[in-house]
Amino acid sequence: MMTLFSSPHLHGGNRSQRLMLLVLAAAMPGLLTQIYWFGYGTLFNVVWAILVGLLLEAGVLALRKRPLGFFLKDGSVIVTCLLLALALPPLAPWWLVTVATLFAVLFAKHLYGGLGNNPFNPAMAGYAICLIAFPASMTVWTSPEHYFDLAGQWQWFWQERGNIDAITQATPLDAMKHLQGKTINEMLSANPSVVHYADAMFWVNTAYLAGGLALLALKVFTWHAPGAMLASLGIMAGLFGAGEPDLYASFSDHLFLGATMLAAFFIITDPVTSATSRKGKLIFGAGIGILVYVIRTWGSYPDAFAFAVLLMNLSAPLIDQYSKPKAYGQQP
Amino acid sequence: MRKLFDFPGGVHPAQNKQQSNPGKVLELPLPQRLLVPLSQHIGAPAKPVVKVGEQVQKGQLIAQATGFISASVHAPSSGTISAIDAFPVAHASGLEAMCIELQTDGQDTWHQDIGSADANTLDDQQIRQRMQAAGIAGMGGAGFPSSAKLATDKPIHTLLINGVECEPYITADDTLMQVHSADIIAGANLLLRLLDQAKCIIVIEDNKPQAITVMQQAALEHTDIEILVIPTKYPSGGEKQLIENVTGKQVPKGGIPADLGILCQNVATVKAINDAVYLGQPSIERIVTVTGNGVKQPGNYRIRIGTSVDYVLQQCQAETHANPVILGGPMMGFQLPNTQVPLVKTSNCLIVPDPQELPGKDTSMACIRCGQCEVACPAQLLPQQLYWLAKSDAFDKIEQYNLMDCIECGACAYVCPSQIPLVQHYRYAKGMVRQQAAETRQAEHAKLRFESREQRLLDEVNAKEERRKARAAAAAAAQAAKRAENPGAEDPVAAAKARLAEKKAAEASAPPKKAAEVQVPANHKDLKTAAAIVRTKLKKASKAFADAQAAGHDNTDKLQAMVTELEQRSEAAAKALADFESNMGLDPEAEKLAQVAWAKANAQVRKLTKAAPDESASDTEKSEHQTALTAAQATLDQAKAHLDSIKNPSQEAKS
Amino acid sequence: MDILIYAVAALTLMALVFGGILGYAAKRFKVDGNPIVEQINELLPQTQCGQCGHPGCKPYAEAIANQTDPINRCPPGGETTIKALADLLDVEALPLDAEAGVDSVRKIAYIREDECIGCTKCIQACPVDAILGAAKQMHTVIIPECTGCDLCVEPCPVDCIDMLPVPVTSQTWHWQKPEQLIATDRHPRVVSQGDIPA
Repeated sequence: MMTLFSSPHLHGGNRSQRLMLLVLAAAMPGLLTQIYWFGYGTLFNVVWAILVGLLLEAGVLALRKRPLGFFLKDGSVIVTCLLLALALPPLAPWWLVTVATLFAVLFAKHLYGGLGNNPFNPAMAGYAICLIAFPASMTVWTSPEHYFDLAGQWQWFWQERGNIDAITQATPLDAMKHLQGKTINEMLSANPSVVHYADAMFWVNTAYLAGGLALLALKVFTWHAPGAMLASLGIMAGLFGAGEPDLYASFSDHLFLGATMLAAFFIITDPVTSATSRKGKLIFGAGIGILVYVIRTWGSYPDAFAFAVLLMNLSAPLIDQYSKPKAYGQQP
Repeated sequence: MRKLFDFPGGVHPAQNKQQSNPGKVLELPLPQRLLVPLSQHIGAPAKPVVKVGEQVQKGQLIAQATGFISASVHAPSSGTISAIDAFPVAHASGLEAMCIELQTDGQDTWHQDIGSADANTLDDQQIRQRMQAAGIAGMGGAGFPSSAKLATDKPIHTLLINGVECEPYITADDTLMQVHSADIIAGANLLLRLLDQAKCIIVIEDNKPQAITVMQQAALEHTDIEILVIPTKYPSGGEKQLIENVTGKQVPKGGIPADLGILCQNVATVKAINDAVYLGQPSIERIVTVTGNGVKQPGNYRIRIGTSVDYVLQQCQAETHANPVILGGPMMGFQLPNTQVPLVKTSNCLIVPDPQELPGKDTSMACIRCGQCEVACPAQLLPQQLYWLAKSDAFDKIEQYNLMDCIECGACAYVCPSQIPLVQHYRYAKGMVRQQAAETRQAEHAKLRFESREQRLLDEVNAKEERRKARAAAAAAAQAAKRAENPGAEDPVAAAKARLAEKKAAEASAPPKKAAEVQVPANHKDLKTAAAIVRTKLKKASKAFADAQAAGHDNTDKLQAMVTELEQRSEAAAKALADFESNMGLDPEAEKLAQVAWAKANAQVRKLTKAAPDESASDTEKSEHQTALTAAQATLDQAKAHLDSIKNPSQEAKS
Repeated sequence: MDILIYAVAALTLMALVFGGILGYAAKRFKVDGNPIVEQINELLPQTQCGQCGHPGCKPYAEAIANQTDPINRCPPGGETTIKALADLLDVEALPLDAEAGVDSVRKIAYIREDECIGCTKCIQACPVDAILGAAKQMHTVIIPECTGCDLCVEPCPVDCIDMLPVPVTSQTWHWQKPEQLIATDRHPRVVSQGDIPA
């Protein structure tokens, strides 16, 4: 007797692999812009993270007696590692990237049952662990004006040798947080390098926005989570920024500085760890936006996507519980 | 221009409609054998009104609808009824159902009662009667009896005629509209006549330009019939989706379209209504799309109900490549476990795919919760939550996620990047939910019956007790009265005991008298029975005797005589039986052995038959199995003969 | 000293107040009867088969409620019932007690009617009055009422009662759960209807 399949007998040809490839492709403009402004550090991070990630994935799959080729090909670990590496500071040394990847792939993903079963976004979990464990290494940001050349970066990446004080500086969000009695405008006019940094971040964010819009157009995800996140962050920033422009960073600062666009289109759209329904995704995105603003403004970290995303990951089952769509034809 | 609405979800699969050359109806020679299932619709199966061997004419009623939601079945051609039995039918399970088998005589002569009528001279009641008699069931796929659908008491203001045909590959309705546009319009007018004050909208997807043109031409003179073109999107032909698309309203949950004042009918159904009323012809044929790369002569064929799928495939020169044939469309149809099944009123398409065309399922991967299924779902469900719940057998929870509202359209599985067979998960869960509901109902029912039985038994015991008490009271009263009358009488208790013992003895002595009257048994069975009866009597009498002795009654010698007599009788009966057995050459021990041998052989044969190697087995395996089977069969025959000879030695002697 | 008095007074007062509230609540929200027995009984399959060692489902439910019997003694209910009971009582689900019988497909009693001698013994045994007949008349089972408890099989003197599995019809048939097959590198396209846990 032949095996009979239930309908439908037609498939649209959509594959998980295709989705992952599209995400990788859409992140390329952002990666290139980041390299353009901040040097080769990010490239080193990306390559190393993906290598380590693939190795770890293969190792775990072998331990769990799962077919290697089948799962390595799905590309999910590459996406995780890419996003993690993009979020890490360009001056992260090899051991930091390794530890972050290890946490992401081993602890956040496979210990929970692998692809599709992890409650926390693996990239953000890896990032957050390192941010808490190695705060100093996780906050060295290169200035867009001075960064290592390829050889210098190579040396730094492996041996952490070189004069990094010359090439690091506070990020604009950091600077706006620690005003030390000045207004934002006073601080900016006193520090032209911060203004320059902000320009660079604007372009990086724009590149991610472009990639994200492309994914949206290709229907890789729906607009709900990123839309809600950007809207809630924008509204919070707009309200406070308009109220006291001297103390609070403006609407555009919040949307185009830090990891805003990367998070909005690449991180919080991770389907596995977000809420399920479209309504749920709206709540999920809005929650992240609000949390990010709160932590950026009143918390002790200048940027806060990792924590905001993890906190909302925690709430996703609850959101799902209360955001069931109305049944077809159900009277309101 | 009417404002169009949209419905949630939906997908755009490749159409593949040109493959079957819509617009032309091809004919097939009449098959020699037609197999007409009694249940081709939703609802109660029809009841046969013909007998095996009976001659029937084309269009003659052969099975009558039973109940309100049921549809009659008619002979698709003239010929002889050759069987009324269970045959495999077109169902995903491959299970059998009752069918009427008809050997056609090639004359194809209409039954004398089939005749055309002028609808203008018929009153509404007569039109309804003609429709009902024709056994029309929704030809779009669901097969809901049309007369039942029409018999709603809710006011209908819109008649939606469904010519959407949103599934890929199928062009049966497209062709029907191109070829029979006038009949469809006439049928629609008939329905409009029955529905006071309704207007009619015939809805067609924009991928059928010819059908649209033809239908618009045909509807030109009818101001109350509108041809509405909607954009192509699957599943716009689903009833609820169609209604939302056209009116912007959702059919209430658990409700029917009539709640919105809407009645939906498929174009093929409307054409069948036209034929039934104007021509008097029952629903005995339909247009079926035969398509797929495996078919050399694809097209739309006019096919008699009951034609075997095999016959159609053979006539269209289909090459199945050992791929399962799909009945229905690629999105909602099912693979036929067996092609020896008949086409029915709801069969609209046969797809014979080549191996590349509709490939079997790839290995599916883990759900990554991408949510694409939710975007595609036309029923506003959360397909991935349903999937997780179905996978973990959480059947009570899955109902809260409205599993039962799933229309199984397959849009979710179509878009799933992990290729999860979502629809099958849902079908499994639905089946389990229904099964559990049925079990709960049954358990509840059984509990009630158990409790009422317990109550009844208790009542009986109580009633007995009451009666006993009442009798005792009455007796005591009588005794008291007697004593008052005659104080010198003997002790009543002792007297009663004596009476009781006497009665018992009489009882014990009675049966032998009866037994004596019994004539000498002539056969083995009766002898056995007689011996057993006497044995029982003996036991009873011995017990009564022992009881009486223990009680110290005086008439025990009577009983003793009885026991002795019975002992003799019992011995005599046993001897008679043994004599009879030895005379006849019967041997109970041997018979038992033979019976065991026969049962063993029988089991062996059955086991072998069950374990028959399938098609793929090698020739040696097959021949080995055949040899074993033949040997077992021979053993069985031997055992049977032996058993018979022991059981009935006289017969053997005769033969 | 004052402090001690205040403290003792305060505690006494609180004890009185809360005691009063508790007492009132105990009276006001008193639960009548033992609803847990009813709840357990609801979950049992009501075949009244007695395979658990009790004369019917209700007594078994009472035994479970009193914790004198484990939850795994109901063969007709099988896995599902054990799981449901475990959920209800918040205890661990146990495998079915083999002593009580084996979990099997649902069966229904059929009387081979030409062999029936009309002794009415099965009628008396049937816990749900699903057998129809009279003395010296042929008996038959009312199929929709039969729970498949097989209590009628034992008393039949001529062994004419068969327990046959309920046949699957196209009305009761449904798709099976897609099976889970693991693909390997060598056969990445194993035709499977199940998905693979990553």
